[in-house]
Amino acid sequence: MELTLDRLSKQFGEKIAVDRVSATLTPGVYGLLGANGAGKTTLMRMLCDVLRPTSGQIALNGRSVRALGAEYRSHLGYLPQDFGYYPEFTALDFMGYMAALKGIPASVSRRRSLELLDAVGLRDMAKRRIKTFSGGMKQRLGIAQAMLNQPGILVLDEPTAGLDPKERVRFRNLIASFAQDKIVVLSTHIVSDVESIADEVIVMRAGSFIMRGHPETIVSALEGKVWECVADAREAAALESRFIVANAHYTPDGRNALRVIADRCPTPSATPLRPTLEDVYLHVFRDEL
Amino acid sequence: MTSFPRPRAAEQLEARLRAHYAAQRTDGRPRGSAIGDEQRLRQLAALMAQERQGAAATPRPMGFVAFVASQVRFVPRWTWIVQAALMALALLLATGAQSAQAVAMGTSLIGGAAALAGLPSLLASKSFNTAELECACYFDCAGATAARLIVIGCSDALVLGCAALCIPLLGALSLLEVLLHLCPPFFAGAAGCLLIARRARPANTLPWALCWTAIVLACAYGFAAVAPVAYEGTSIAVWGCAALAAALWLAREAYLLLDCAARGLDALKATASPVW
Repeated sequence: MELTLDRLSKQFGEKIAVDRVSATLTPGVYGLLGANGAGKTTLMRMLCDVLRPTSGQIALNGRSVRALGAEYRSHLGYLPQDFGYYPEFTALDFMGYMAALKGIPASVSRRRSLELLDAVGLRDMAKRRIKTFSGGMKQRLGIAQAMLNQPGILVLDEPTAGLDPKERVRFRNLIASFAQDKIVVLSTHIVSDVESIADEVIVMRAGSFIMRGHPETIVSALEGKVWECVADAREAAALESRFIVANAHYTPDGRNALRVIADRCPTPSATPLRPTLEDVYLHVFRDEL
Repeated sequence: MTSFPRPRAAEQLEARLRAHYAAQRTDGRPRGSAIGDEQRLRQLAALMAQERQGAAATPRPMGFVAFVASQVRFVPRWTWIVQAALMALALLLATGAQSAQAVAMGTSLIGGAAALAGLPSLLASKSFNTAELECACYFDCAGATAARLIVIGCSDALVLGCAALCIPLLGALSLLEVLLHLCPPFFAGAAGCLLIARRARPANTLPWALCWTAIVLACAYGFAAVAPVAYEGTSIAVWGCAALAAALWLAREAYLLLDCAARGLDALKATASPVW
């Protein structure tokens, strides 16, 4: 299976949200990273045929998704960032409703709905109304409905928003087991989620892909540029004003230990550290922080 | 498991079955009797099991008719309660009304109220922000809207049909009079409600729709005073033209609503903050 994006653009009035993006996606997990307003959600909406591109096209196995229509959407699973629901529905009602929209016959939908609710830890809540759910429970329900039709292409926009650490680990395991021969595209601000499950990371800014590759490859671009500096309060303030500080904590002797991202060694006593994807994110988006 | 290989596996299965039985006929051996065929039969059985598993995992999508039928249970219960109340009102008018004018006014009320009752169900995707989710499904937002229009339309037809049958049957008004008091307020009311649904903010839709229905009913009563149905053929022609114009307007608004839903989030978001 191959999903091809060919010079995809989306313009809202004067604003260009996605700017001539091209890529070929094959089965695997793609983590889409970018600051607010980078164009991630707009791109995902175009992938799911929710928004029409201003120019360019998306093709599945060489055929335009516009021409494929319902056939393309039958291979899609989508969780939007702003997930709407019918408050009076129970979780099982909602799954049944989404199953019908996905064309899944009633003979199959109930069993599959219960299996997925079990997989996301909502089996006991199946008969409860969605309006009584917490934010994390609603998010898990959203993930479950996205998988109803066993999609070949799964698009998740901020799927771990509102999930506690235990739920996020469960989600990562779910995606890892699901993504064997599927295309999974997920966007998130929680960099650690992408780092642990993505086969490829795509960094997006101002509507364009500015970086793309395996997480380790992307992280290696920052090799030798991440440092730990231990300083007193005045020096720490000076370092924060001149460099990107990814993390700061106090040492047992009351001094400041700063994780600094800098092209050159910031202080004579700085020690180099192994970079992480979060460091890359902070470095790339330093102007927007 | 991938969703794709089912057709090729079915072809492979058929080809291997044909080859197996053809080989038996060529050798003159009775079916299933040769020891050498055991391995081939095991392979075929495994392939059939795989094919069954594949078929179970990837059922064919349901057709549009089945999809429409599936939407009935998702219409809120209170919509059916209101529809049932309107049918009860029709019976009450037929049996308990004091005068033909009261029956005529009540009949117009049934037409206008039936148009309003289904509106919240039609707008559910926009009201509860589920349109984005629905647009990405096999039956997209346009499919969901079309299904709701059909379900609510059939329900309204049942209510209007009940009124059209009961009231003349029990002698209150003639069938023609009932239809001419029922249809223009229904068609005009429904058309206006669909227009409001497309153009107004979700929070303002119902209040505007209530105002519109009240205007339609007021016009219907005024119209009846100016051109009563029973007053010569000219009145019937005027009522008929009003009903036809309203029906054409309703058809147009239904088409525009579906077109808006089919254009995806571009069109739906564009109407999120319109004139009203």
